[in-house]
Amino acid sequence: MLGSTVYGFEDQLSQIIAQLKLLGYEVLNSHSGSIKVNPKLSNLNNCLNAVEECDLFLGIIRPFYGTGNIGESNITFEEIKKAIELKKPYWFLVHRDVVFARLLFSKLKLKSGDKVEVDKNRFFDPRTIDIYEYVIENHIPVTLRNGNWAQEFYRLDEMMTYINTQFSDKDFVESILNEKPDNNG
Amino acid sequence: MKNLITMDNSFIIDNLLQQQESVRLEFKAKPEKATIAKVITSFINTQGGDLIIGINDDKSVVGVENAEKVQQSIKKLLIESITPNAPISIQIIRYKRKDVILISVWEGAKKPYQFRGKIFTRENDATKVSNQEILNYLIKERKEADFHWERRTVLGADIKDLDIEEINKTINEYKSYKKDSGFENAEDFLIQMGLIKNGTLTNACIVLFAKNPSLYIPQSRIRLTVYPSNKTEDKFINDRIFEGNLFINITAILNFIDITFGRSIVVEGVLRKEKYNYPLLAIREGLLNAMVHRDYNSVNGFLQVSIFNNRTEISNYGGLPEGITIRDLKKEHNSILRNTDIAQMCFIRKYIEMLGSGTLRMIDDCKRNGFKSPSWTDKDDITTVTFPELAISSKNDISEGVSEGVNEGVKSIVVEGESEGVNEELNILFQAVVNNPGLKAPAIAKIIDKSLSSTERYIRKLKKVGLIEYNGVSKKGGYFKTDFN
Repeated sequence: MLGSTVYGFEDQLSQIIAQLKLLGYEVLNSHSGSIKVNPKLSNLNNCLNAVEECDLFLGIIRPFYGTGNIGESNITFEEIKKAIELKKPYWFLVHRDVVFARLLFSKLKLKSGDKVEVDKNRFFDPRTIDIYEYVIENHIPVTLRNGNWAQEFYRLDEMMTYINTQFSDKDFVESILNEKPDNNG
Repeated sequence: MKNLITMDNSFIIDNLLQQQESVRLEFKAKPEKATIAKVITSFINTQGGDLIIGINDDKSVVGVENAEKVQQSIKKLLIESITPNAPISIQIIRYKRKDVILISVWEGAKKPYQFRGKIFTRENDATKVSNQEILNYLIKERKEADFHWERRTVLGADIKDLDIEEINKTINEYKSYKKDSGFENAEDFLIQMGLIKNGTLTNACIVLFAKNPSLYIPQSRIRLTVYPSNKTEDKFINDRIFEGNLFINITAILNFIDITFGRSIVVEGVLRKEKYNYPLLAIREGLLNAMVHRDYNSVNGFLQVSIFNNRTEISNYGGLPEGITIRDLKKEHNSILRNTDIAQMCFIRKYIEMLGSGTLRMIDDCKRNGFKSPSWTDKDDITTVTFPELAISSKNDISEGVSEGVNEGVKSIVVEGESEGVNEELNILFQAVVNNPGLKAPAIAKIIDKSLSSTERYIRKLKKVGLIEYNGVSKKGGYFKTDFN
């Protein structure tokens, strides 16, 4: 399953889906309409069911939070939480601006002690740092995937190169799928 | 601009049928939409190209029934289903009494392109689903494209520097091109188009939409000079620098050229029509070519339009792309774009309507309208297109017309069946009547410095074709131009 915010990313998302298909994977992604939809369930629950159904999870954390928000929940964030909770083998691509913003915000302090606020804009939403932090804090190291579970990116070619490296070797991916839970950590 | 669509473009089909199916060319007898979409996706991922529907593999013409309906349906599928969005031109062309559909695309710069989740590429004359090796190559090409000058960001510039009106015009055109598109505002549109990346404006964005692009990219200026002789010199009749964004500049330059060369009123019997004194389509195409192919990367980059007394030249810094020769320009060729993001917006705004056949159409337009064919040179990284003999006519009072900023072309008249010499005299007399309405023949004769009998003869001719008339009672009246003018 591919979990990602969409805004301003439609083209690249569809290119990544095509790439994964070319590599021989069936791709579940809410944006591309490739997840099964139970009309009795909410969008969010349909997406979470797809996470349960998938074998692998690739999350893309971009600096824009996007429009897929239902109340306080962001679909992409909820998908990511679910994948981690279900201990699905996962990979993450994290945009450089999110990595940098997390570092920067950790050093920003207002003399008054108030929380730093960011005006509404179309290039960065501080809530994306929450997603990134959640992933870092809840990451369970997997012996076989040392250092490779997450990758910083800036351009599409960097994402695609990472995906090629991680997913073109089917034996490697199969070995991760067949890992027994007690091998983790 | 709209008249381009109805032009006879059968010569393009002629030209393509002289070639074999190849990496850039495919013939299809039937309009099978999914197959067509796969071929077009493969063209965009490889070298661009042309697909003609209504032609058998043996090149016999079978035509397309209900061509307009078929065209609309194919257009919808291609524009909505091939992603990322790329310029796709789809034209119905009447050829050998049948309708064929020509689909043309450029090689894309946002590879890999896909149709229904699959990436197609072209290998010789076959369309194939891409494999991993080819995918790696496409990723490499994408990386190179993302490092191109156009996509580099302009530090210090922000949305306040942009001409929102021009962006809104472009959004409207985009919505008519891709019906299902919607944008919240100008910024949203630019993000979706890749002209704002990670919150920063790209060079292409500045060239296209800045209020004052030369503030950030001085070489984006365009200069137009009218020389009195056949060479560049310090003395000139007119010299203008255009510093607006690309769309403002196109309009201003085309207006300037229209005023400079003027138009003629051609009188054929009782029919009168306005005719441009220059090959409008060819000049426009030449200008657009220079704008989308020029090399902005160097601060020495330039685009210069020079009007001499025996020719007109459009020169730009930036040689022909690797793999393209001057000879290629005279036939259908791979159009390797230097500035793809800029070209895409020119396509959306309909300044470029058909892809890949621009130079061919320039030649055709010149021939069709009685002008000499243009020629191209590529020397020292400067590409020049020359329109031989395209110069200012003595009939046009160009210095006055241009310097006063008159917005209408200087019109001259051509009476069919009269010699060039007589037409010249008729023009002088006509201008005298326009500038001095209400005069009688003797006064006009004085102004044009001709005998009364010659003047009366010319007056009779102009009256006969309905360009001037006598108004008022015989003693108090005089000659006036008619309402037709």
